[in-house]
Amino acid sequence: MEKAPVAITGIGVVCANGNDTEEAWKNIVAGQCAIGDIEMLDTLWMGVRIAGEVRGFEPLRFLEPDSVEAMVRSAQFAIAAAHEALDQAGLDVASIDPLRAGVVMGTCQGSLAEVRPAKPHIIDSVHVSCDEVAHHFGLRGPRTMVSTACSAGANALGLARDRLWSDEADVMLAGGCDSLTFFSLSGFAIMGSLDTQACSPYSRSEGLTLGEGAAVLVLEPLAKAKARGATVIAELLGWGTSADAYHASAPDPTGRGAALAMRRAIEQAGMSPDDVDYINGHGTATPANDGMERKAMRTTFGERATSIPCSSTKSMIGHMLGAAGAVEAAVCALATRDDVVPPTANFDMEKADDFDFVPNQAKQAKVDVAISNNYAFGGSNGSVLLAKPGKGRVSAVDFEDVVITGIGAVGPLGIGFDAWRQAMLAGECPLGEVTEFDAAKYGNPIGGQVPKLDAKGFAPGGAWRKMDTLGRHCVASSRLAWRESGLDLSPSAMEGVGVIFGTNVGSIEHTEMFDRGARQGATAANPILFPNAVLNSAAGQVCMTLGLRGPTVTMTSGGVSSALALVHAADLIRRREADVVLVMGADTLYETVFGTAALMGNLLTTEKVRPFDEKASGTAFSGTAVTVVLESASHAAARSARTYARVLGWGMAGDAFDFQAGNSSGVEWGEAMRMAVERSSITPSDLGYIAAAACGVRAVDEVEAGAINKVIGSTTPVSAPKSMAGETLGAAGLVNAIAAILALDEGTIVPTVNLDNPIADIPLEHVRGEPMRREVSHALVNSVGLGGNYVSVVLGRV
Amino acid sequence: VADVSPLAGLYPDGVKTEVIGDAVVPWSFSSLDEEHGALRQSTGLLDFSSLGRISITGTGSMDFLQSQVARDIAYLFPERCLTTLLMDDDANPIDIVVIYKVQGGYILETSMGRGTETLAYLEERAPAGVTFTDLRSTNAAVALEGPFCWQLVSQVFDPQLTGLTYQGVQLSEWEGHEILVSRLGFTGEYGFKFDLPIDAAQKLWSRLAEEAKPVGYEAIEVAMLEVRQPMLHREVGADGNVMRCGLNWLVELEKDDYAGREALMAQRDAGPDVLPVSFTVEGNVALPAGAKVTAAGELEIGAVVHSVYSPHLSKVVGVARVGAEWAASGLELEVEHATEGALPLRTVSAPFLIPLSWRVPIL
Repeated sequence: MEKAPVAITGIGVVCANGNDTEEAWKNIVAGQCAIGDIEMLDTLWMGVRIAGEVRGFEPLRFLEPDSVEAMVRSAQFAIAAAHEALDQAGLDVASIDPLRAGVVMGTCQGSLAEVRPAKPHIIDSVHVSCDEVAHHFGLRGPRTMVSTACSAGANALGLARDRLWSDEADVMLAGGCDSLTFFSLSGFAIMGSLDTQACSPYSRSEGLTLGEGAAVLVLEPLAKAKARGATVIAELLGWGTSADAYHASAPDPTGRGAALAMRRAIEQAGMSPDDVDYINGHGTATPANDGMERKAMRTTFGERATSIPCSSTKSMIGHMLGAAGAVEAAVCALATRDDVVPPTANFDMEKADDFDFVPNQAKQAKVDVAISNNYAFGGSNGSVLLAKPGKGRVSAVDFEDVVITGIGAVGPLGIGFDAWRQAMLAGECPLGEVTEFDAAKYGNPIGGQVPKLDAKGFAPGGAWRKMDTLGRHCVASSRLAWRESGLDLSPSAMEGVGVIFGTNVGSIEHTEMFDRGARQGATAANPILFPNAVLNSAAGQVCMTLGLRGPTVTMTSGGVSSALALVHAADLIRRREADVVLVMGADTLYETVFGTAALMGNLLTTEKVRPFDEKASGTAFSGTAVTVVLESASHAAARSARTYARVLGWGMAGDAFDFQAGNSSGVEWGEAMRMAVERSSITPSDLGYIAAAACGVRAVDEVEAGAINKVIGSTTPVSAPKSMAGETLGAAGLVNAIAAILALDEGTIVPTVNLDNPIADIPLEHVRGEPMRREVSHALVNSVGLGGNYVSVVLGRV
Repeated sequence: VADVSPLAGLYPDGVKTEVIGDAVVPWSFSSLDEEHGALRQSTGLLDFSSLGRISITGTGSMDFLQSQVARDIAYLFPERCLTTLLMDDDANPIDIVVIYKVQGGYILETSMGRGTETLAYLEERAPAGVTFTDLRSTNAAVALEGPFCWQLVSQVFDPQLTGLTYQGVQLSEWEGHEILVSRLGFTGEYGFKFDLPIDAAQKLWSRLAEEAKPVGYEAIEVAMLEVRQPMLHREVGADGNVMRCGLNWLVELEKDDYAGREALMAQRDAGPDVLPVSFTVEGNVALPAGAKVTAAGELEIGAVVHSVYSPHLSKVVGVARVGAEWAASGLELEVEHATEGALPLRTVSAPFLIPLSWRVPIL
């Protein structure tokens, strides 16, 4: 593989300063502050009436009235921006191979906090905007929703770039979207973070102003973009992330985490800090952020820190949360195109210091290389480096082998890998009556509950008390995995250890608790809950309890989230950007999710989970957290670590049908499996085991069975770990990885339990009832997400 | 035989020394007023070579240490340290220690003057495979303490060190020497401690002495008492146990299995007979340990454990141990003075003063 520049060939923007890119850019360069009175929401008790609200937005230009009715506002923004970006790129979607075109979107809350009149589902809420974009344009390639709060937009660009680097797609749409919500406004208001005037970053610094909108960029491999004669606006050269490991909402005041993200982005691009001509700062205008950024700039750029122009776009359009990183990267791209540095508006010259914050007026300056910085709750930092076409360098990457050296799991099957191992090999089925809440009102579907954990052995009591259930499960599983891996690292090595997280709805417990309170007014809104109410909060807790500052990203693509996390972690290690990465997947058994699924009628069973069975009657949600430690083979060998498996190739595909059912032909799912096998340099016959994603929902199981039958064949042993573990959503990919590890490491294939009458017309080699002894050299891990998203990963024997 | 600090040769003229445990410590360099003032209002420079520092390595080091100390060390990572208590099986305090996680093992830091005894105690109890190294033969410890000491830290060291959180630890570099920096503070003020090889520590002491006032243990002990930072060598004594000395905050009863836990639980269940109470006495009078504390002129209810004159408060501050039923603040009692008879004593809530650092943000 080569680390090569990626071309940005199209940009679409919807923001308070304009509903298309050129209008927004013109106003941003003019220093026009579009922050004004909020019209769409009543914010009376919050004491703040202003935001960067999108005005005059006309979704009917792109969408049918029915779709507008059914679609959340953030997704409408995303589709509008994507239309513009594709137009500008001169790409006709119909002419692209749909399996080679994907989408990565970033969001803070997704539509968890948005009102969805026509579709009151919560299950797919977080990733619905990504699915809507894929659906709208018929994109069937890799699809990822990333939710690292305010750095999500930046991370979406990086993750999309990764798919191009590894030649999994020809075109990626990447960006972020978020709309103004009562939830985010009340949250920031109750924390006292909102300025009552339009925010004034880097000068008055008395608080932030929220905004909304979307930005979508078209990314293509540079050579391919040139070959089709596209105009390259700018190149995306580097992306870096880091964890602060400091606090749930406040940034590390030393700017250490922020500096690490910048350094990683610059290093990935093969550049030096001296190459950077412009910084688009996070610039939220909170005193904590603005002070921290100055320190991070001094650390990164040394004496040049005060002479590089740095401006905050948020001063004009507000903080667009999950879209901020995308729109600010777009601003950087346009700055390099036009050699103009956009200003920081609302700058109070009396508060000026020695930094060049480009006060109030844009300036002409040569901008060859620009960096866009974003820092988020949970201490999740992301930086992207962009440059004028022709500035990027190509460097070859000699892939490192990736191995698994530690496993920790918390769920109904037990606490710890050994408990899971014994339970799975014994074919135990802990799914049953739900007692944590009143399941009777939903018709008593069964579920999987996690025994109540206490802090002992996992985290100091004080830290534990501040976590919600998901955070505790994640901290416990990561502590178990860390301990099991036997890692004992120097402080500098700890700084490079990454945490990549996958979850469906994240810390929904605190999100809902906060929202319920906030809807009753100021006195009922609990500010302590708000910092945890971001999807990536559990990853942040893990970084804090273990002291890790390496790369961190949170994927929120439903049931494929942890498989996507595994892929990204493996990417980091094989490209030699990290030696050790914790991959974590988790969701809790949560009443709202459970209840909505139950109300859908055919999703949850009251009886037994019978994957691949003719009489399958639905699945069972189960709360689970799994962490696996990924390590470079050389790092593991140097410390003589116990290794369980190797991570080989993967494949991703999506279809574009309705939210629940996938494409019944199984073409896309089969494509994900085929790619995973091909990219592992093996043939389907080399596979000795398939850990299927089948969950007991007949419509889904049939598609998978058909795709396995067609692509892999009918003689490879297959089992569905979900028959024991239940549908664990965000953890599902890693639950299946545990089954694959047992097959590879011990030569024992875990069974599908409760499978009495396998689907008759699709022959498969089902392992059922009892485990099967068999030497397995390669195993396929399947995962599926609502909305039609498929990720398959091949693991190999050590 | 007491250890002389490797920095002793650099002390300014006129230094007075004292012996605490196994260490000869600089007791005062100039005057209590000046040195105490440096700690409370600006920046004091401290020689902490009297703190024993023991490296504990080997595969059994975690389990051994976990079995000895009274708080859970499972969550330590290389950038965090933890203060806890070492007790014998009868729950008698052996030492107040700070535990640092380092690659390959731990560093245990003892209280002042306790290095030799605590090392011998641990060595005797440790199983085979746990190795101890007394770091005092190679390293020395220098500290800065005071509400504005961070200004000097950012001037002399990596400015990022000022961002260390309380109990934060970082490996850093100073003029090419690796230094282990921890942010603790013994006096309630900001405190940064630097552990480094002896020759480098000597250079560092000289460098810091250009800007900060050397402070002796007389002032340190006054400032520690003002915020009720426990001092093992002054406050425990033969009859002091965890509850009698108010060391409860250094132990975790939720933690299973560590030396002294059972005896401690028994003590807890039996309830305390005697408890510590903080007091003030007007004026500048000497109230040595053992001075009787009485109530209503007649009733002997306890005795002074330790007291000092606080130049900041212009009165005597101290700790007495009294019958548990008398351990409350706001009582007007008396204390027996050698020459002046009974003096009025008032019990108060600690700390005796609010350190300036609590109001001064690190910028």
